[in-house]
Amino acid sequence: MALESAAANARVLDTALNLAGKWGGDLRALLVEDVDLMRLAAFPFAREVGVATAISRPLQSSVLERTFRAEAARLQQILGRAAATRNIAWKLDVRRGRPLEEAVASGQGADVLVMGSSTTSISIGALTSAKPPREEVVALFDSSESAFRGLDAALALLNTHHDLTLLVPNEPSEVRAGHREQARSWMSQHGVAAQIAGLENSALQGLLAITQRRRIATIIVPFESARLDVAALRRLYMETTCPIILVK
Amino acid sequence: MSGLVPLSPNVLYRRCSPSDLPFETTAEVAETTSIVGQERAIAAVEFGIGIDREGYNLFVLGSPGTGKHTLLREFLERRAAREHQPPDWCYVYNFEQPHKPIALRLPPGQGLKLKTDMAQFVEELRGAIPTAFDSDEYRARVEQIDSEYRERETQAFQEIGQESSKQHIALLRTPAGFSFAPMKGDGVMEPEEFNQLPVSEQEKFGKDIGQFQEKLERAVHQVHRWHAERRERIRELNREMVSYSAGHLVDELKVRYGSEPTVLSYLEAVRNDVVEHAEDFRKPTEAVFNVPGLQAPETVNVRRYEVNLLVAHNEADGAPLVSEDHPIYQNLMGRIEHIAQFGTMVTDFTLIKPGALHLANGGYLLLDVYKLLTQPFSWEGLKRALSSGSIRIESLGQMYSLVSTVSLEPEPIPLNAKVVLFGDRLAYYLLSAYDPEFEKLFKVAVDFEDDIPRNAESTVQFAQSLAAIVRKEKLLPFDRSGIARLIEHCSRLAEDAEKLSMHLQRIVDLMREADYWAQQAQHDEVTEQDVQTAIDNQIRRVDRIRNRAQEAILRDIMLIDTRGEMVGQINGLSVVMLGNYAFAHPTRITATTRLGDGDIVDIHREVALGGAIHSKGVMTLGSFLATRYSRKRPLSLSASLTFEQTYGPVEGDSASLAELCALLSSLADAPIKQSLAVTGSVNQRGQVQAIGGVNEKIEGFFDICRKRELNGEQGVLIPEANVKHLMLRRDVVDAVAAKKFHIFAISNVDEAIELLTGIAAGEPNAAGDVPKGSINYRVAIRLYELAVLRQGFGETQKQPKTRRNRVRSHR
Repeated sequence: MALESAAANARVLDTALNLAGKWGGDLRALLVEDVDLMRLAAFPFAREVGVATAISRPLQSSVLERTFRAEAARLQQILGRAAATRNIAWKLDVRRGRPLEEAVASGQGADVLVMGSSTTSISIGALTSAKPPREEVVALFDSSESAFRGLDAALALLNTHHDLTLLVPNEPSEVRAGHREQARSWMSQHGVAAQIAGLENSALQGLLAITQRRRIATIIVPFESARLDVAALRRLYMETTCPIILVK
Repeated sequence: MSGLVPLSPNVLYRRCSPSDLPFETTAEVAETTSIVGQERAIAAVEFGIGIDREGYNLFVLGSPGTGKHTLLREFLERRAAREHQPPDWCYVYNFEQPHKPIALRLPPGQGLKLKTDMAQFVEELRGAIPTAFDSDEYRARVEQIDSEYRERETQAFQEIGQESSKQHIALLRTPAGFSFAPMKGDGVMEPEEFNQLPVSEQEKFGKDIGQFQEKLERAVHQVHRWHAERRERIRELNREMVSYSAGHLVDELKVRYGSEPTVLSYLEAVRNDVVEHAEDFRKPTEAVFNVPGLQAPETVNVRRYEVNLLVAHNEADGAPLVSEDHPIYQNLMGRIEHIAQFGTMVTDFTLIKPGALHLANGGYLLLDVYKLLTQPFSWEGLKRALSSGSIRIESLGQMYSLVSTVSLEPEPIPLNAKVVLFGDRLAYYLLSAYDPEFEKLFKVAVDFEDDIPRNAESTVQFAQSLAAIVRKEKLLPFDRSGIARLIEHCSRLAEDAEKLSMHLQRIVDLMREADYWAQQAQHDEVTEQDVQTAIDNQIRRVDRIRNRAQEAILRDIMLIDTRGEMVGQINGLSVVMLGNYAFAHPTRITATTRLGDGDIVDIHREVALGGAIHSKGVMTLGSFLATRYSRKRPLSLSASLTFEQTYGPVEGDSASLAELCALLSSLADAPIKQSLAVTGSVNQRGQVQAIGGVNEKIEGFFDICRKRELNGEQGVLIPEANVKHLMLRRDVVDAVAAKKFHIFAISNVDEAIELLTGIAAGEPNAAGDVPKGSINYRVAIRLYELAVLRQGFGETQKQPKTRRNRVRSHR
């Protein structure tokens, strides 16, 4: 099981630890120092516009380096504590490169890859309800072996505030019907209720559209589907803050 | 020789015949009041309570123990039970001005209901509001709003990103924001490559990036505005949800309190506040910290919806009757308590506590005037409340700027109570004289009699009131001999055989003690004997000083003769008051006379041990002497008078007759019988006037004579006016009956001196001459001789007056 953690996205960490704990897997964490950011910081005109203040300020390499080092130390600490509690074997690597590519590359040998981008965004705040808001665990289901493992992962992650949504890719209707049938069978077998919906676009683009409109807890995608549409995966990776799980 | 005869035994003590009482024992007496003879006071109470006008509060004045409290309580309890209940009062939160809590007036019994209803309302809100917020409807609507803004935000950044990418500029996420960088392919250009670009291209990148940064800044600002907009929409949604949840709860309450406009206004304010503060109901209710001694603030601040029930009345109650024994300002006017929170003192409307005025509002408040006057600010506070007709709770600390804590200004509550002050006459007359507001606020004086006339009718009434006390105190029944003895004792307490003392407290105490002694003697009823035992024991417990004084006389430490004769020496009688116990003992008074210029020196006054009234008595003697014996020539006498062996202050003029007799004895050189003692005051014309303590005085001299053995010559001279006051001990009466002791009633000094010396006083004839050898003759001759002697000395021999004498002569 591999983990890509940009800026120690807490939800990514939590998801990875949950799955590793439930499935008894080892955890290999990867913190990627974004090479594009390092390049940017080397430009004399590099400036950063703060999301909280909207103030433009210089972005310096030395500051960025320090930020990455501090992040790595913090992640090491968090992982150490959490993994010890759950008795999970773990390892943390720090690499410099392009996050998505590095994550996919390092996840080659893993059964499951959990990844998430930096949480930099203007948060509009959680729902102010006393209870946590309901969120969706969204799994792309194409009846492949990976897709079934994805459903098992979804099952492992579901809690009382989650709804499960299974998305069937845009394929010929008979194929799609087969996927639905397989999904229902799995649901019946596991006693799980889920909504099954069909995607209009390609798999990942359809997912992207959904994440912009709905409150998503986790996205689960068969590894093969992701590999086929890297551009869409990049957008998904860039534009969502929830964990993305690639399952082999 | 005087023909005056001693008083007969039957005038020395007025018995109450048991046969005059219309019952055998008090058990037969029907239920009646324990108060008799206070018709004036009762009429005043009825008037004071009946009149419903401003300032007609009552001041009950009279001696302690006269039954003031009992009568007022009995009367007011009966009256209050018949009256309508006053309204309940509550303090509630003022949503517009939180530091000024609102007073709500409710019909009796409704205050508690409102309090309970509001507590229930809050409980229901705690459940209903979170439920509303947890509903699918709410979540869906919030999600709709959130999605809209998420989309806007994403779109805003996407547009910038897409636009920048057309210019080969990448929009990148940084740890704390966004940035732009020149692109090569789908990645950021290496700085070295950038440096190799033509300057113009570099400048273009720089310029473009600058423009995109500005756009990004504008976008971030716009996103912030959207956030504010979103929050407002969420708040509006929250208000809508809460308005529905709370609305029907408030509506139910409004139906219940529809007849109370102030409550309806309050409930409407509650509804608005709940809607405005909906968020408070959605926070977790657990305290977030736990520090000993500190009160954790409730995360759900619902205290403001509580009702502070200040005054509540049960439906069964009548008007309230409140007695405040400790009328400090706060107990009277109410107070605002504070609690410590994070090292500061804070308060709110729930910490407003009622005072006695609140509790008595609509009824009666009983207060002791001395307790009231001795508590700082209480009197002023009470007057302010009565004058303004409202109760305003103010913190003294705030009023005088002594403390600076957060405090409140509760809305004043209208005051409609009768205040009844209890005090003595001194307090009443002092307040009348020195406090201009007093007479405006306490217009009704309820003046209690200290005693009532003793006649057949009042005796029976009084006996019945004693029977009521027996019942109330749950004592053994008193037989009529016991009651008769009590009545006699009441006359003794009144110091008047024709009166009955109304100092009921002392009578009640005596009755309790008689009951005790009857039980000790295993009597089924309290008899005369038990009452006498109680009286004897009361005296026995406090007569140590009396016995010491008598012992000193009997051992000749204090020189008192009860036999023989002596010139210028007489037995006076002094009363000593020790608490409620009074006794008397004889005191030797001596007089010396010599040539002088008319001064009678009161030695006690010279050493500042004589009181003003005593001095007045002595000066009256000088006037008497001059008027009777020296009208046509200067009174050429200098005399000294003293109470021998007294070392404390002497007051009163009851010894002036004795002093005059001693002077006349000295002037006439006529010895006075030491077997007699004298009491009585005298005026300038030689008439003898009444004095106090006549019974104790007679008994005091009798005790000494009895202990030395009565010889049939001993006795006491008393003013004739005091005969009606005689209620002497039985042993004294028995001695008189046996002619072993005598009591003479004197009306003028001539009668007294004749008895004391055995020499005729000497009645002047038509020419004003008195018989030779008489006391008056001898005195006149002596004074004439002194005048001649003085004339012989001449003016040159006359000593100048001392300053003290000059001063005294002008007095």
